[in-house]
Amino acid sequence: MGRTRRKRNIRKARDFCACDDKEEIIQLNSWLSENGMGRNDKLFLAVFHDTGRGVLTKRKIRSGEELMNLPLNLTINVTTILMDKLFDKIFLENSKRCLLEYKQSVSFQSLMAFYLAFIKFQSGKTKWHIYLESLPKEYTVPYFLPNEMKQNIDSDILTVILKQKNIIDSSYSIFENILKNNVSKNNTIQDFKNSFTLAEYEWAYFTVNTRCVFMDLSKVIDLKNIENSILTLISDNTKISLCPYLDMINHSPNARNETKLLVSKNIENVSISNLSEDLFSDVQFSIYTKNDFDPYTQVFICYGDSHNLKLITEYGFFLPANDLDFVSFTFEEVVLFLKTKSIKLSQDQISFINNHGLCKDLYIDCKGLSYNFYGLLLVVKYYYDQSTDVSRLIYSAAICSNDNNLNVMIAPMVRDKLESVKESLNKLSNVNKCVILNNCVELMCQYVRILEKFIKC
Amino acid sequence: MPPKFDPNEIKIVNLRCVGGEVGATSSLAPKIGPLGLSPKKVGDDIAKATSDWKGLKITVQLIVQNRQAQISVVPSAAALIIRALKEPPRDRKKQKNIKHNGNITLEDVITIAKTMKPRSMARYLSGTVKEILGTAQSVGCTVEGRPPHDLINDINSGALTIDE
Repeated sequence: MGRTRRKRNIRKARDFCACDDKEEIIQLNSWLSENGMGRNDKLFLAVFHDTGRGVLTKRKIRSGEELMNLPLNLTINVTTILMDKLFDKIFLENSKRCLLEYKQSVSFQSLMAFYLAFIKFQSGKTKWHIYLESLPKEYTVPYFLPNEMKQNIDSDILTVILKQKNIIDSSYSIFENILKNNVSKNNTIQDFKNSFTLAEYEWAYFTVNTRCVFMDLSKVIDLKNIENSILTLISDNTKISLCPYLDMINHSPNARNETKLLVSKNIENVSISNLSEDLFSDVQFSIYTKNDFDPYTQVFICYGDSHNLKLITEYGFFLPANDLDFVSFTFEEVVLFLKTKSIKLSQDQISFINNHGLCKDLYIDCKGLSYNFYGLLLVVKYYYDQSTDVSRLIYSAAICSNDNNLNVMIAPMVRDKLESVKESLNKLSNVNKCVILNNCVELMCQYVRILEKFIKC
Repeated sequence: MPPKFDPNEIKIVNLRCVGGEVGATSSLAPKIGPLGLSPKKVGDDIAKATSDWKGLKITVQLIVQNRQAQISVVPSAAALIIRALKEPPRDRKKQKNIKHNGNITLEDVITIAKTMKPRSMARYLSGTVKEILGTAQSVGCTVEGRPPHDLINDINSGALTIDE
């Protein structure tokens, strides 16, 4: 084989093309290194055929190796928001006492999205503009599906979309009101007031949603005494942060990794009124991998729960042949179905089910009924059986989730569900496809496979 | 809900079982069933993962994420001592009230102390060694042919020193 053919063969075998030479990536890399980011020098950015943009290693990475460490000042976290005096003015220079009026009414994720929209608006004036340029312009989560397509997608996906919509709408109206009542004479705030739109906020919300990582700063800063600060607005914890470059690494359910917050100086419980960038100059956020990666392969991390419903609705991608997928049923659905079979649950049975938590996590996956579903059906069938003690049956050594009698009992409900999913799929087949819809259709096909397998067994 | 790598998504379950045996699912099912795991399969996996500790009562830690359990054995002083005695495997159901009247070396005790150091409250290794010797006394074995408490006295008096 000649040199040219060998080179062509190597190129053909690779499923990526490097993208480190793009203008925005060059700028991002130089900005990150100027600001002290320590990156494993084996890592490069590339566009992969199956996953899109991701991180590639040019040499072997062994388990336990550090992938990158980011100075705390290079991540957008709770301290960044608290230290931005201009952003504080939006809330503090207000005709209403908004900190009291909207006390604990938004999530930290929403506040962070609002902050992101604010710094995006300022573009070149903030230190984050290079990072903001590297972010995707749009996201492939089902939230952005047109309404006519939403009608036929699965109810599980729809429920998540509705929840997201409620959170976004309510927090958007709160931030819009705060902006409306702002009396600051600052030009940036005045201009931001006029240009803050729902579309901008939705983009910012999903940027945080798809890219934020868990970072617990409760030991470093004092988050208990937060009176008169914008943190009085939030109803949950502040443990999320946006990390440039780290958010480029794609997900794999098999990847294992560990994150650490490295604090070299003796910084503990710093009051939120004394925050400064110098104080955190030695604090670093570090990520280690527990996997081996071969040269010229993609580096993965595990985001957390890996069932496709979460991956599609929160992150906007689908993992084929995912064993962790499940079709869930609500307790009300099961009770309704049992009623049609003239089985009525007594008060005793319902209280037993509630006390043992058998009304949640009712689902069917590729292995069959979930433990709680199985337990629930055992209560339905054997609660008044004199010869068996139902709690012993549920918690005994004899448990295995393939009792055919129980499967037969629930089969008509599963068949109905299968029919409805198939019908929705048929309707969707006539609609113009896009990436988001394809993901939803893939998930629904996966549901069909799980339900068909259950019925066959 | 994001964020990525949220540790709250990881559930840790600790349970006591006999190594190498498929235990009664009655203790396993209420703990891990609601987490979406099959008690039967996890029981089999625990038996496989604890085959090195056949017949010994040990604590097992299950780290559950993505409805998959990762099994690790939490070392305990008594189990490590009994393993160091290298007793022949017995049938737990037939032979009861077994006496562990064997002998282990001080080297074994120090190795066990080093394994147990992260879980020990002692400041120095000699403190951990004394803890292990105390456990050896309650197990009923001897160390270097002597009752374990004699060695504790030696350490206290300075006749025996343990290097860090």
